[in-house]
Amino acid sequence: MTNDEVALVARWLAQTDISVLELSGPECHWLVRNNGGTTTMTRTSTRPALAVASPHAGLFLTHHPLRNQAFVSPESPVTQGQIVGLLQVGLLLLPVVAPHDGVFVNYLSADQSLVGYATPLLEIRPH
Amino acid sequence: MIEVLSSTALATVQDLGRFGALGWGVSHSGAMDRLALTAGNILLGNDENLAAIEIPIFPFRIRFHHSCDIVLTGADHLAWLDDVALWPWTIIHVQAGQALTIERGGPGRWQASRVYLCVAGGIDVPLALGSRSTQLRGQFGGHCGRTLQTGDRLPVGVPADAFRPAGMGIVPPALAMPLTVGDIPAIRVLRAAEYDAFTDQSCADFWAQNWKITSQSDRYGYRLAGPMIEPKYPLELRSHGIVPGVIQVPHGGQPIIQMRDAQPSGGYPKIGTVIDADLWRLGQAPIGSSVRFIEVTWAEAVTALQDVADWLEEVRRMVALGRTVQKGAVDDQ
Amino acid sequence: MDHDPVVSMLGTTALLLEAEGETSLETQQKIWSLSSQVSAWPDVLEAVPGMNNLMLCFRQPPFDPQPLIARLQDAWRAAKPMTVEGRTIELPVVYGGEAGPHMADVMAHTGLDARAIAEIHSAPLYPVYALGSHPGYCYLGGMDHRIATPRRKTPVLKIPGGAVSIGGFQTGVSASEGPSGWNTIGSTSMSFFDVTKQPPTLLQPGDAIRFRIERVVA
Repeated sequence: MTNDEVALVARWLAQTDISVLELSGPECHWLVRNNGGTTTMTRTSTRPALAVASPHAGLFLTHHPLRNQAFVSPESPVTQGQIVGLLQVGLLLLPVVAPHDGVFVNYLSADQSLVGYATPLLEIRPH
Repeated sequence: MIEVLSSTALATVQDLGRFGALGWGVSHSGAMDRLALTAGNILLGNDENLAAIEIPIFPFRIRFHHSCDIVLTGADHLAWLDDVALWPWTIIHVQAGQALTIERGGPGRWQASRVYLCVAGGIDVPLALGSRSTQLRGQFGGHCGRTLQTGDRLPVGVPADAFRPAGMGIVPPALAMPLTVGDIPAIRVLRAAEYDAFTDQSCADFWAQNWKITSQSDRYGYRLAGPMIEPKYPLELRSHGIVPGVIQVPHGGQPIIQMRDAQPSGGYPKIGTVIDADLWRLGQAPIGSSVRFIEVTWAEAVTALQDVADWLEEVRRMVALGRTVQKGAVDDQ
Repeated sequence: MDHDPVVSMLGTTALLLEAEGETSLETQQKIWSLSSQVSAWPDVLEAVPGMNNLMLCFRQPPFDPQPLIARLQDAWRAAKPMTVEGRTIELPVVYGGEAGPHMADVMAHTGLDARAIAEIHSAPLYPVYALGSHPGYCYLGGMDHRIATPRRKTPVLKIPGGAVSIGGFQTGVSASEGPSGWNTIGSTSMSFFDVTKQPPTLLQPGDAIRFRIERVVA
């Protein structure tokens, strides 16, 4: 079900006295609310979270060496190309980036852990 | 070309410095944190002596009028490209029209003061006596021989033909080569010519006490506050050449450390000299913070300089390796 | 020239050779000679004359500096005074008043009045011994010791270009605005430095300055 199709449903809903409509598709769940003719649409992805695998071996870092906070926290949105972790090799820092837009779920490898090629590092649920 | 949107004060264009002109009264100038500038240039594939903007006070805003690659090295403060948060010591791709904002950051893992905005191709101001560094006293070099002001437009040089993968960075030297006494950042010092002319108590205090960097500290020199340093007898020296790092004690008894813009000659008695290998640490020590001095021998001071050279060599080697790895990752896609 | 000069290290960046004895033009001429000689040594980045002393900046600090120091001492013993056919410039000076904010300190230290200080200060022909401090600044030799006044307890953050000042047994003229630990007794106006010229400085070691009293403000 596309955004346009749900928007059409929302316009129809606005003319009724139905207050809530839930729609489920193969990859997402829609919640359409009607508050006296004003509708809001909330999309929740039901696609499975995808693991991001380590592109090479290194020391996995969930935060920049100069910072105390992690690059991303659970349930925060991420955009394709955003740095979500680092692999340290000697003094070199190589980025681990989000391969697609979505919501960050969690880290699968611990901060400061030595990881090999293809080790799952973290999960992102695509939109 | 980049345009300064707002500059609080004291941001200057600096390369590694101006050498061979001391005999005209022209000091070395150059980046207060040479490792930050050099490493930034290595990451960008620049000649290591290309000029960057040294930013000691925030906020600082700049707009890029063409697409380019940049790195923010030195101190870790909060930075955004438009509204996207940036990471320090990391290659960043910039699109034409984007604005960079740097604001004073919360306490991270390294308390430091100066950010270096390094650009692929370097800040391409004209050479003056062989350097692009700003000579504030002589009002030449850098951009119009002065600190940057709102509205200034700075030319950027042609970038080298190097692969600059976004997100690739290095571990800053402050983390790779930490030096403290207890919790206090430490600086290594060699005794200077007049060391023995100070009282035993003064010499003992010099090594054992904390020295606060007062608000009267800048690129010329750091005026320290601590115990009184007193000579055994009045000393009036003939003027002689001095270099960044020399710790003079004027008659007032509070030491002054010569920094990069310091005059190249002086006559106050010298108790010690901060070793060349640690000047970058001192260059990053914030006003109001304290430092401790550690006495070293000549051999230790020369070895420390070799440690710095080794670290830079490792940066060159690992950045080259990183380019290869990241190039492979791009080719796979 | 009885004693060997004193050599000390300025961190790992440079070393300093200081001649013994009273400050003299003859010693300075040996310093100029040594300076031009060691500038050609491969391990020397630059040699910088001071007042009867010479600073050598290293390209790379040696692991053992002793051989370099020994070579320097030998070169000093062998050095012949180098005479320079310099030129003389005359500078009109307003002594005291707003132009010389520390004249009172020099008067208090010497026990002389402003007129006497101006006359003693303007009497000699001052050879330029060396340049330093800031772009274009000249260190001058030959000041009368009667007006010698110690450097200030704390350096002054800003003195203007053209300031004529005394620090210990030395005198000089500021080439541009900046901090100084010396006592300013008067002022003159002259452009001492132009970065577009080669060399960029108006005066070189071996040139000379004559101060002329334009006015003494009591």
